Amino acid sequence: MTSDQYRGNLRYAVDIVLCIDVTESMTPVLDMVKKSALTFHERLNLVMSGKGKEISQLRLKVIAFRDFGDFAEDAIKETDFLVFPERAADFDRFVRELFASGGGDVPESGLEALALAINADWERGLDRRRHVIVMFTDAPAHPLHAPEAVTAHTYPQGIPGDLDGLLEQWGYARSQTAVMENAAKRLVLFAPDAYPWNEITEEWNMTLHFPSVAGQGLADLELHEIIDTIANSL
Amino acid sequence: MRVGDVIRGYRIVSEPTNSGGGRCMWAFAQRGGRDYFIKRFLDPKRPKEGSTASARSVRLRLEACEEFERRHRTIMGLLRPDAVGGGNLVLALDFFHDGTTYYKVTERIHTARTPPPRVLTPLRKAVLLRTLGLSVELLHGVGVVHGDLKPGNVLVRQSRAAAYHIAKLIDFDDAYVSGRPPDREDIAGDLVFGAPEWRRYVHGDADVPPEWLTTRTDVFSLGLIAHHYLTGALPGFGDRYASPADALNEGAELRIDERLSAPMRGLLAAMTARSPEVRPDTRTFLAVLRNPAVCEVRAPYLTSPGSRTRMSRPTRERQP
Amino acid sequence: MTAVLIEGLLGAPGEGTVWRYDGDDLLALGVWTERSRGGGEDAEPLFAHRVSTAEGILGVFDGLGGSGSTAACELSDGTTRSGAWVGARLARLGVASWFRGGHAPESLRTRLVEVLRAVPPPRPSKIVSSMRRWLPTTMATVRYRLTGGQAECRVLWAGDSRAYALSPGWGLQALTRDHTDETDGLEQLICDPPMTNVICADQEFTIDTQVLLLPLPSVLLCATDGFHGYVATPAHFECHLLRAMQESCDTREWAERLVRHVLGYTGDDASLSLVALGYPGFDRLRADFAQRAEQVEARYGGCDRPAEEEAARRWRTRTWNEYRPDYERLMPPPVEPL
Repeated sequence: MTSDQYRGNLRYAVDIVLCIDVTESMTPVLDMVKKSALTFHERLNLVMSGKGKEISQLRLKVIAFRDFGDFAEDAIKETDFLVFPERAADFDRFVRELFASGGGDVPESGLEALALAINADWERGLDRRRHVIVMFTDAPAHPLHAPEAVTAHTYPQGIPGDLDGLLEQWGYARSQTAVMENAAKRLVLFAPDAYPWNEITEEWNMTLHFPSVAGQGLADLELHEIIDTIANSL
Repeated sequence: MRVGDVIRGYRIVSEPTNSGGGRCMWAFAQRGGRDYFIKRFLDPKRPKEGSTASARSVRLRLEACEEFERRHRTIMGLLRPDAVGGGNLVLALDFFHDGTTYYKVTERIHTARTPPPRVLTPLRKAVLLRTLGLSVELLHGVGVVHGDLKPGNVLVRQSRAAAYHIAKLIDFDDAYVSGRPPDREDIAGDLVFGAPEWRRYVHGDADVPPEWLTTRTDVFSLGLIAHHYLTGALPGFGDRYASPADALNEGAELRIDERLSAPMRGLLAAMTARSPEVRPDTRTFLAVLRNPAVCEVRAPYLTSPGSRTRMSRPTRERQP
Repeated sequence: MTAVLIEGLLGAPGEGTVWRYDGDDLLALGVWTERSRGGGEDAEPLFAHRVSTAEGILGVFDGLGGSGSTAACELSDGTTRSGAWVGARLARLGVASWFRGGHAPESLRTRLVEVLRAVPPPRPSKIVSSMRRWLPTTMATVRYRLTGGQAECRVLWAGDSRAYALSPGWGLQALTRDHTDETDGLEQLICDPPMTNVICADQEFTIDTQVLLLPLPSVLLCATDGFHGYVATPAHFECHLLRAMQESCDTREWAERLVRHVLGYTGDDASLSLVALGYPGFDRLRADFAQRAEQVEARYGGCDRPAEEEAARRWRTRTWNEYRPDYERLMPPPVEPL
């Protein structure tokens, strides 16, 4: 082994998108989700350093969602990918301002939020990447392009027409249509065992589902599962 | 998969978790009164019955699943649970898909809380390392690379009080045939315990072809585990680097703990050499361990015995 | 490092304790004997080695009973010990802590003064003679550091305890020169001259020093006069060392044989600290010295030593003159009287 192109340590990029349901029914648990989000960075670093590992670049993004069919104006609110720790203050401000309200009927626009997360501007550089989407919701979701939602002027453009289309974007080992990188991605669902989360868990790869009971919040939310998921996969 | 579910007759008896599991969820299970460990793979997933996805999507996913099955069955074919000396390899007893998802079942290893290996006597350390070495040798003997050797994949077990501690080697899901590793994007391995050539391969270094990833890649990790078991720490590699492999790839040297015996230092230095071809094989590892004295860890400061008495009272003139 | 109690040879008075260490490229042994149980005024021989920096120290300390025996100390175990007994142990303690602290060679004297001054002397009026010192002891130590195939040695001593190097090519080579007016090694044996400098709590003393680079492998030892002061010629000490080595099959046995040998010839407490640096094991050490052991035994061992006194004296002078150049090759030059 004489020739050596090697320069520098392996650099790990971790991107995390937190999709947070901020409808009325989330009131009992939103504070806990917010607290989890705010302490996430520190806890991840702690676990990683305990394993003797280091993340070279950490970015977080938040997508807060309600229901396009209920009220178009505040159906989606999102940040860019915020580099930590430099942009931690922006992240904190955004998360602290989240409050639970609205939502209309039981299903929410969680799939649109997921579609936006999948199509986020993921880091493609560095040596190894971990792209994690975490969904916090206590409700099922409307199908994509539901008639009452799609008429909203804020409805996102260019997202797939149905769950099959979204799966093609999520991808699989030999997929040529995926927008996610197969080895890098993880989807962690803190969601009820209901459509579409049960179907996604069944058929999508790299997906972990921690079921909550619909309408009763995320009483069993266990942040350490996400942190473990990231820390163990590096 | 959740507590109480029954999958192919295996009843899930613990909360499934991803903890330490990488690309799987795992739980304990029971069937026919026996305890099992069950793994639910996150990838690949088979298309569900009556999938409305395109035929092409279904075909591509099925192809990936066939390749996954083939790889697992090849390794399972090479590693028979009934092989001589195979008792400390925790091998798959069952491998199947239930619906869209793949599962693997092994025996459940009951590990009581055992002390960290570094506090064991030299003889016990030698036995522990030999059981681990024998398991790895068995893999290497059939040309299989474990691919993810690290303390987390070694269960230290003591069958009864005062018995020797033995190592049970687990998780062969990332195993591959020597010289034929998975693609750079897909290969598993540990950031800390991985070998220099593995790091370069993952890094996309074109100078490291797949053929360089062989059983000697495991030997590097085994050397680090042995150092960790003996001393409680990895060899020194400096603050500037994230891992021993990084340090070596940057031209730095590993500092083997000087408290270790000379034969052990020599062995571990060779096992953790940057170049795979100079690393010894597991037979050498086992041969050195035949003498338990090599597992002694000396005090960092030696001092000869002296007087234990202390002055306690004022001095006085002795009367003649 | 475990200590083992060794009984003397049948009929020989006294008993001894040995310790030994067999490490990688590092063999060490210590021998400590006393003429009467509990009264041994030599401190236990010192050896300490710091693995991380590859440096160590060996040393011996001989509490001077003649000049310090009248005053005594009571110890925590209720026993009473002579000032000489205490002085030797305190000096050992001072040297060990000085080494452990990694201090400069120049600070050793200060450290020893600190340690010895901590023990209150008996009422001053009682000490009248300049011959009577408080906590008097000799010292011979070698502090070494292994670097690039060499042992960098700093020899520090006071009084008539000695440090030596031992090699197959040159035999036993003194690294210290006794603090006595008589500088001839054979004369010193014959007349046991008074010491001009010893460590003590109540009078000025100096620590003599010299620095040497010795090639590895190397054997270093320190011994009190119980070992080297009761032999026919300086060469006989080497004979004892090598004979015991050649008769032994491991370091421990070598140490045990040294106890039995010394109890057979000495008239005093005797202690010795020895380290073999760069030898992979005792077998190799013994093999390396096999030829030298035969030579020195044949030349000086005493088989052809005349019985008649005058002839014996001439024989001693002749063999000493023959032995002396190699023995003194590393010895510091004598200090010329002003």
